[in-house]
Amino acid sequence: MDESKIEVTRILQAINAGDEKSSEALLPIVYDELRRLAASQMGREKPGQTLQATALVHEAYLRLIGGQDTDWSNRGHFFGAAAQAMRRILVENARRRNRIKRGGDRVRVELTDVADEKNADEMDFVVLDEALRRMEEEDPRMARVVMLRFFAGLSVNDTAEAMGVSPMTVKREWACAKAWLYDEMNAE
Amino acid sequence: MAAGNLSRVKSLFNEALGMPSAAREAWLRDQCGADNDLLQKVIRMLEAYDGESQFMENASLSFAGISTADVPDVIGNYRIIQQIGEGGMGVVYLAEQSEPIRRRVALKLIKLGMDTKSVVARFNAERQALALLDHPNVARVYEAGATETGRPYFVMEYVPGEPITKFCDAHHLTLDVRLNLFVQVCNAIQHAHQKGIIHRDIKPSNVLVVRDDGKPSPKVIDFGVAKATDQRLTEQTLFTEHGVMIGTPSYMSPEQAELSAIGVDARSDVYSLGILLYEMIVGVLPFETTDLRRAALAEMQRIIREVEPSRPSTRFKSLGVDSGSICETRRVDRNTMQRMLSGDLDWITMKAIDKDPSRRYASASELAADILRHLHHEPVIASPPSAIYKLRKFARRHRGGVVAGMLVLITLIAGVVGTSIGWQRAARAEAIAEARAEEAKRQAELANAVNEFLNKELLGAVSPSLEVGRGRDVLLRDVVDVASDRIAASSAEGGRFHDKPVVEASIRETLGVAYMKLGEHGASEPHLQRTYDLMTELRDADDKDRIRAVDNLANLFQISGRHRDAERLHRDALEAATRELGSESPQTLVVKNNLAAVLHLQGKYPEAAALFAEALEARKHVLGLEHKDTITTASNLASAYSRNNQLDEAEALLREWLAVARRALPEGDLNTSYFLKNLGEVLARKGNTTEARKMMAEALDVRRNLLGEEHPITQASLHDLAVLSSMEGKHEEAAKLFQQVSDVRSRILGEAHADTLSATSNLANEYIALGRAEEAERLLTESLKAAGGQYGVEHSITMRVMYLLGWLFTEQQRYDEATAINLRLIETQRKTLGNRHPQTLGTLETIAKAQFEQRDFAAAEKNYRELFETLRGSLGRDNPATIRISDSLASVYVAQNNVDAARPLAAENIRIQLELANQESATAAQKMRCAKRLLDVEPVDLRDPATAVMLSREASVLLNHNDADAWALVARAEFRNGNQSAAVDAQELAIQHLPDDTSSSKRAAFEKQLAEYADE
Repeated sequence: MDESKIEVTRILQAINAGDEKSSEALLPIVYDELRRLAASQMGREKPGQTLQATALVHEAYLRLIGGQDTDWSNRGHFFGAAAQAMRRILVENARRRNRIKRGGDRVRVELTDVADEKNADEMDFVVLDEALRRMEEEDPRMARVVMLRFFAGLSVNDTAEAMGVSPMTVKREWACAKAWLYDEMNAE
Repeated sequence: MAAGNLSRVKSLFNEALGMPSAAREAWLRDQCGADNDLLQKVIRMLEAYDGESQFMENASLSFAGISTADVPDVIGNYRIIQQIGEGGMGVVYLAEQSEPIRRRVALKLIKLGMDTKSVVARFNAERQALALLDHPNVARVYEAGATETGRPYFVMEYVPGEPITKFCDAHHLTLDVRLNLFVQVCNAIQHAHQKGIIHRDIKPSNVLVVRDDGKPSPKVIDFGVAKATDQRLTEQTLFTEHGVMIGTPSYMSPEQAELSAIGVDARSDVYSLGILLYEMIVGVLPFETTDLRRAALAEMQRIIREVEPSRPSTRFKSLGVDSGSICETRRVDRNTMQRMLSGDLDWITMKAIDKDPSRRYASASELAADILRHLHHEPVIASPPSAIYKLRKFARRHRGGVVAGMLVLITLIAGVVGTSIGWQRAARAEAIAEARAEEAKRQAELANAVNEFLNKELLGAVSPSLEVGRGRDVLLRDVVDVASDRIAASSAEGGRFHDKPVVEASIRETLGVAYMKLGEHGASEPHLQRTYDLMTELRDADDKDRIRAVDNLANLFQISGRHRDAERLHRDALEAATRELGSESPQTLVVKNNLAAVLHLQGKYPEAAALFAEALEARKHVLGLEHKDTITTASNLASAYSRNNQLDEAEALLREWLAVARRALPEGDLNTSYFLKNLGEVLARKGNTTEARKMMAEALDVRRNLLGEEHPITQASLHDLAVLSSMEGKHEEAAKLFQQVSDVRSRILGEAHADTLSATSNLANEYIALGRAEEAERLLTESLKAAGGQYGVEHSITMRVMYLLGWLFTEQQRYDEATAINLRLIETQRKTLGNRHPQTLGTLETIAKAQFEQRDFAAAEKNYRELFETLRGSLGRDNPATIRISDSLASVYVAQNNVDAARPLAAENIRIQLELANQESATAAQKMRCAKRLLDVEPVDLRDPATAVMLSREASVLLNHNDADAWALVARAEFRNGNQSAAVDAQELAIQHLPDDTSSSKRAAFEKQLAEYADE
């Protein structure tokens, strides 16, 4: 834990010193931390209970950066990585569950878990991921808004600050992004 | 999918949003022109925007299943195949291991919220013991670990079976069959108890029944898991997330139900077994589970602690019409069932689940024995027969307060007696039955079960008392005496065991071993001898029993100092085993290993090494390289090499097997630390103290991690490092460490414990080296008093203290006192250790030295000669010890002006040492030793200072020119060789290179030497 924290600090310093490549190094650490947090929270929760993914990201933030007074560009880097990590976790998780439901790629006993029955308004992260990929190709800024707002749970103002744009821009991009994604995801 | 060009979509969407809804479509049509896809897309988006206000809103999302739906592909080294169960503790998977062997295992993944580190640590603390579990009715537990996400898991033998209660009902097993199954469960639990493992969570789902060759065979699973996960009765562990109680506290003993959960021992398991028995025979639990399930925690505890359960027969009766299906699954009618339960089974069950642990059966095997008695229509212990009363009274007459354990023992012996009465009755009743032989076999099995308990559980438990004083064993003695008289009478002509040699042998074995453990070697011998005779004569005796009989008698001989008799027995046994079982049979190899051990004890190292080497080769072949017995033999062989001063062989072997141990054992395993320790010892003796320290420090690390700082084994490692410091001449440091060890041991073990005294006497030894003779003398005198009082003069620690005291007196030239104590010492040593034992020889050397100093040359010559002959015979002429003694013998000859007798001895020594010192691989120590000899040898005409200069300078080079002692030797050699200035130079370098912690006396001696060289 402490080691990860030190490592995160070191990477953020490297980024500030102009080493943009370092931001890639942030992802695995944050990814591990999020998985660990999610798993440990699931252990405490009742089965079927859901977790607030964004709450996890914020807990990870507190754990990995904590009280250190960092400026907004640092937080931007962090939440960017955290959003990436959270997206990956959710997609992997969804893929695995889909596989189990289909019977999977090998014999496995069906899990009789309530949480496994598809919830009507549950997000299909695999489909979302595919749509988001297309958005990233066409409009990276809009995709970044989605990442920070949706996967990292930043408010409009925080997203604006992290991206160095106005809150108004974020609002507009966000409104359009949601509508576009909704349509893309329900187009089939 | 819709039209691309997101930026175009975006600007249209944003602008349309700013318009009144009604105006949007017309405007959009206008903007899109012919691009209908684009138009439709933006319209759908606008609809979505208006309608799906919750979509991705709040920037939050929910997901479930990281933990519950997360069936991992791989955990640790195991590939998960499927989930096979789920309980309050977590999920159980069927998994496959591929390395080092391919096998299917059950992997229990513990739910989160537990402190993984302490779960794994607690498991590891018990894994040594768990590894010893080897019983057909015990599922093996292989490993505990943690997943990447930090969840602890346990890996164990996969048992494809059903919970025992379910199995019994599904197969409509009768009560008798159920009871027989249950006895097997007891045996499994008993086996674990003998290895020091308490299960703590016995319940139907942990006792699975599989069909073994069509025969139902129960297997107890989950050993070590309850302890590692520290399961207690708490709100948290009892209720699942849905508020439903998981598992049930029904099987939990009252002492376990306490939150503090102290005092949980084997009898807690007996309680759980009792509840299991209750459920298996009656069909329901003693308490209404719904009562328990509904109760709040405190109420639940109260029920378990206070409410007296109904007897099985009463409980069954109270079920009324509900008992129909219970009767059906047991294939009896209600009245018969009622009759079968009342009486023995009521008593047995109620005794097992008594609220007071001391009133329960003392062990699982005792419970099993009582059930067997019931099945054989013999009187059971549970309903008190009068014999127990008699014996109880007997015990009270002999000692006011009778401790609980003693009562148990008495009960047991009464059991043996009562049982034998039962046999007689049975024999009469079945006089016409042809099953007599079968009966005899059952009797023997029964006696064995009782004996095993008596032997291992009880006497095994008190055997350490041999070392902490004999006071409380008086009663045990009395009891064994009574039993001994009875067996003598019973086996005489007309006695009840007269024609039951197996039973007699088995009981005599127990008594003989009991006496042996009480230190009553004389009383033990007739029993063990008779057992041996009976087993030798019995044609159909089991080979294992026979070998054990020989082994016991040999052990008795061994500890009563009759090594030669022990050796003879083992040799006979080895010959017989080789003949009958073949030279590679596992039993033959056990005997071979034991014979080698006796030889080793007698100091016959070369022969011991040869036998160990044979046994090792065979075991490698028969058991495999990584089997624990193979590893043990390797360790023994290394020890023999080491004692025989074949340090190179010992080192090579230990390095090889350290690697095996590292590979075969999990990281940080205690056994690895033994190899590290032994290798460290050998390296230290070879003078490679740097690497020795590394090994010993690693051993210490392993032990600290595994056992904690104050554990005796950890302290032993600290003790080793202290010895190492002492060898390196760092006496201050050594004294400090010995003091630490001595303090901890005083606190943990008591001041008068042998291990404490060992550290204390070593501390005294350091004081001697540091010139603090008074403190040393005080410590040794106190230790001698404590050791003599506690252990008697024949105990090794007493002898060690005497030896040191003798040495101290010798050092102080108080030869009369030294000789007085040494003569007493050697008398004991000759008796207990034999004439050839290294310690006997060490004392003899001290005595000879004192005699030499007191100019009693004739006596000194006689003793040195004995030493020389003995060592030349056992260690060989080239051994350093032989060389040292022959040197002293030469000096005695010289002192008596018998130069002619001295010369050949001294010359031979020089030849040997020169050869060694001039080898390519010669160490600095060897070169220095040879140089010293060339300077000091008697007769003086053999001295050769020029060669000494050469050798000492070579040694100094090997030590990188920075060793003070090497330089001092160079100085002395140069001086004797007539090169005064070279001597002064070298001595100055010697002083320069003295380590910082050198004692002031040594420094002064070096300075004085320098002055002497400069003076000439």
